Amino acid sequence: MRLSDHRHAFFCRHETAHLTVYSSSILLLTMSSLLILKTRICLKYISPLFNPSTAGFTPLNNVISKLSVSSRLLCTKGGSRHAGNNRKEDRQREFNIRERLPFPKSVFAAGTAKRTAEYQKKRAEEEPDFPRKNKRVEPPDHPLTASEWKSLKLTSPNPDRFDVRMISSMLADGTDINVAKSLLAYVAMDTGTLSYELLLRYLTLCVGSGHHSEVFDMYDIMRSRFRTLDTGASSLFIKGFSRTERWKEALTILENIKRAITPSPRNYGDTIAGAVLHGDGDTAWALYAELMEKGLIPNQETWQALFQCGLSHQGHEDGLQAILLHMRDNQIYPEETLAKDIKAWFDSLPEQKWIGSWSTVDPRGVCRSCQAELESIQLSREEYTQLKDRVMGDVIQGRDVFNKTTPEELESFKNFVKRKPAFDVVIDGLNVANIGIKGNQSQTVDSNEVVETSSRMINGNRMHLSSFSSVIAKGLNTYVNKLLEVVSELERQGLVILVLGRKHMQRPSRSWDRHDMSLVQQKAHCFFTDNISEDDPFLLYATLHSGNHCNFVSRDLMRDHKACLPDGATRRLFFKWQRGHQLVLSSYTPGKRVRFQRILSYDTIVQTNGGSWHIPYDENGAERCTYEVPQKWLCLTNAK
Amino acid sequence: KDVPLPQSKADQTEEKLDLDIWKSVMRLQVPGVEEEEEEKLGGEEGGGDCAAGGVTGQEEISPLEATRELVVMWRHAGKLVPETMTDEELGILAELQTKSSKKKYLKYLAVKEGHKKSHKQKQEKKKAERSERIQEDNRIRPGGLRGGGEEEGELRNTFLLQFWGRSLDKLLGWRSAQAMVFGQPLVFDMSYEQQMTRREVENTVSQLMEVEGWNRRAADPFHLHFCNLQPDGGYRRELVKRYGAEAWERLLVTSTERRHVDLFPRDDLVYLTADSPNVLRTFDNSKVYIVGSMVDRSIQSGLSLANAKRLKLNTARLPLDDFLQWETGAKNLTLDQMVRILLTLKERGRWEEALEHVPKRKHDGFYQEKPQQD
Repeated sequence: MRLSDHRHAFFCRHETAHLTVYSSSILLLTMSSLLILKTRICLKYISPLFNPSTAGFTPLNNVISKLSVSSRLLCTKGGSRHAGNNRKEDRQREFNIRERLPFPKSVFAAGTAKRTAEYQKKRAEEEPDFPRKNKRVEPPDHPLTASEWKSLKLTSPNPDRFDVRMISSMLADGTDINVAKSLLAYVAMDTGTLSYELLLRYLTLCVGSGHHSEVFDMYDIMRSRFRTLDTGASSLFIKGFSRTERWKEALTILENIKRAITPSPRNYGDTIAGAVLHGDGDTAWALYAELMEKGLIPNQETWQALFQCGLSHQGHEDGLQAILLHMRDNQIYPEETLAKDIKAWFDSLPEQKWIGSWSTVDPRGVCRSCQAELESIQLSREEYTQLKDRVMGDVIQGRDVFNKTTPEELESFKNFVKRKPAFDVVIDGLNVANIGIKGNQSQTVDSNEVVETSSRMINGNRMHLSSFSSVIAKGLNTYVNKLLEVVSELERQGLVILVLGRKHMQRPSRSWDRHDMSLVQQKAHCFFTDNISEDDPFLLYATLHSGNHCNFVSRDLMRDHKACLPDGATRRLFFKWQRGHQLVLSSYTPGKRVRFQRILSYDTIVQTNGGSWHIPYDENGAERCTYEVPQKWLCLTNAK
Repeated sequence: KDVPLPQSKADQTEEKLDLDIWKSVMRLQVPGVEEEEEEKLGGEEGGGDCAAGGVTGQEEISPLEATRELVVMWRHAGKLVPETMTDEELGILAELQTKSSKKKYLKYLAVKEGHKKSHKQKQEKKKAERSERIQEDNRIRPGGLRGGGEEEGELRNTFLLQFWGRSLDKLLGWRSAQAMVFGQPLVFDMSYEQQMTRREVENTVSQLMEVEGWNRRAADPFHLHFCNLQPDGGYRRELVKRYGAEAWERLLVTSTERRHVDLFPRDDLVYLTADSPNVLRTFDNSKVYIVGSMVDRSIQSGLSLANAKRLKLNTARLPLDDFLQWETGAKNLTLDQMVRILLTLKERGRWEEALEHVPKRKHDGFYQEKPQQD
């Protein structure tokens, strides 16, 4: 391990002490076989090539496997010799934030959260799922006569609302429509009428299975029978009608819905799809304009319909481009099916030779298909100022300045930031200090050290047992070590550092060693908030205040702070800035070089420069969290 | 595309199976179901002016009318909506913007209506039982006076008249009056009206009434203070409405629009809030505890702590984690639970007893041994 020169002596001492403690604590743990530690949730990097066969690999095994035989006799658990991933590292290479790391993915990459969750689930004990009691009626598989229905009803354990429950289970099973008809016939003959509820469910069955003439009949019956229709029936009729030649009537039904409530995006989507299906592009676009005007969020299927419409009829090119720009403005990503339609539409454009290809983007922000450089993740000057004001106004102050801080503290913080030079990196002290307390990342501690210290420990030499336990406790919990390591690493790169923390960090305690803390304060500027104040908002503001070059170190996804922002546009701005400026510790191993996950240099958003379009899209079946961005791109270039 | 009907085996049976018979049955019927429904929902037009039958050819109708129709049809569709609605409720419903908020409000009304109905049914059942008992008595002893222990008109030998509720009220009234003079103050901070919706204010007032009731029945009541109570605010309006103007005037609590910091020395005040970093270890008889009277269905954390910070007051939270194996639910308790805990502490001073009032669903029992004092 290379160390900066002027701290060399101290560091050696510090390192060995740390290793001593660490190894002995591991020994102690293994001896008492307290191996079942609760895993803490941490955004551990999991490679996309994650091999499930190594999932059971524990860090302890790795350490134990390197222990000498004598010390291994003490362990109740043997370790495999072949565990571990021996990634070669060039220790001579200077670390740099912007440098390409062996870790290709960031926390913001789509699917990371899902993988992490699965990994956590695998590690957690699986509780058996109790099957829920099924108390539904089984629908018959062929039409029954009235008498058969009657007997079925009488034998059922719960005869009231038998008809509604029966047809509901038919819906769930997708039973043949004639069976439902026979039920309706029985109920009509039995009671002389049919309830609206029953008809509604029957209608759902008809629309679902595409019996159009049946839908028309139902429409006539329900219209004559009831003065108005409820929203559910109207939606079903719209859906049913828009697939047939009577699709224009769906527009009338839509008008009727509008009287009571705003129609749903799906209602609009169905009518638009109907118009497109029957080649009436103008109506479709008029409806789309109305939907947008009402401030509704269109479904992806609606866009799909419009692109398909553009495929069969020329024109409306501006409208379709506007859709793409709308996706850009609202940070919406098309799904794979829609992306295919977009590609098909571009391909179909006459007099223009668009070449579409499915592509990915390399970490430097270059499209692997057309080598074009993608938009930078950096914010423009106006956006930056706007975001800074919003974070100060809404996140820190909010409606009540006392919620997160006090006016005095805010004032002193503002002065502090003004007085100091611009920072290069702002560290969330508590967040960094809390990483991997349990050390569940793979440990690659120097085995000789471990053996030496452990054997020394066994001989009882230079260490009393009483003091030993306290040292172990310190070794497991010494937060400040991690903080110091991160700070030292960043200082080595010659960066101006700010560490944000809370006042209790300054009080010497078991986990906040005074000496280490003073070292941190020598290497970096520090600002400590009150213990009951929030520190994250200050972190965000300090970073924003320092300017565009400044990054912050935290594993926090800042979702609660993002939620304090008033409108979607500002939230998206915040997210973009966060992706471009947040450094996440990829994994922490005591005594090893601190590494960060790479910051993406490009923005994942629908983008064009006239001659080409780059559209990120969500893969089918892949789940993406709100704080993640897709990894796949549709690249469209115009080869004139 | 219509699927042709398959020749099912049922056709050959002696009972001919006509699958479409229900259509003709339905077509023969005349519309006229919703008219009754409309009457039920009430309204200024009386729901009878539906000359324009059918969906088409409708002239413009008022949003209130449209809302009424919506409720009727949702009722038909089996959604959870009330059977009767007042005009005021319909107005509130029409003003709600989104479909989900409408549904939520209707569900609330429906549930309320259900409670009312079941209550009424129980009452009637009791009434019927009572009248039956009276008849029974009359059959056994015609003309005999009813009432416990009357035997053939002979008076019972007792040294007390029947202990009526009125006597108890008088006793508790004296106690409360005594507390008003000598009791330890307990402040309810009513400054959260702005952060609450109408529903939440109603819930808070219900809880405050319970607080007053529990306090009145205690052996050694607190002297309750309702501070920051704005004279023209919704809070006060709701309180007066629920208590009745006369009872509210006679209530043995101090309600004031002044702040608690103006009434008591700042050092004596302790603001109780679940967000506080300090744990309340012992109940101090010389302190004035403040409870923020607020219900937040939409979770707004840290409001009362912010208030306490603003006025530089001491804060404390209950030692729930030290005594209870907390399972689920938020650590903020209702006002009546709070006052019961404080009353128990005041009388006995034992946390285990006091924390019996924490809802059982939220925790998994008490810790066996006393927690380690750090």
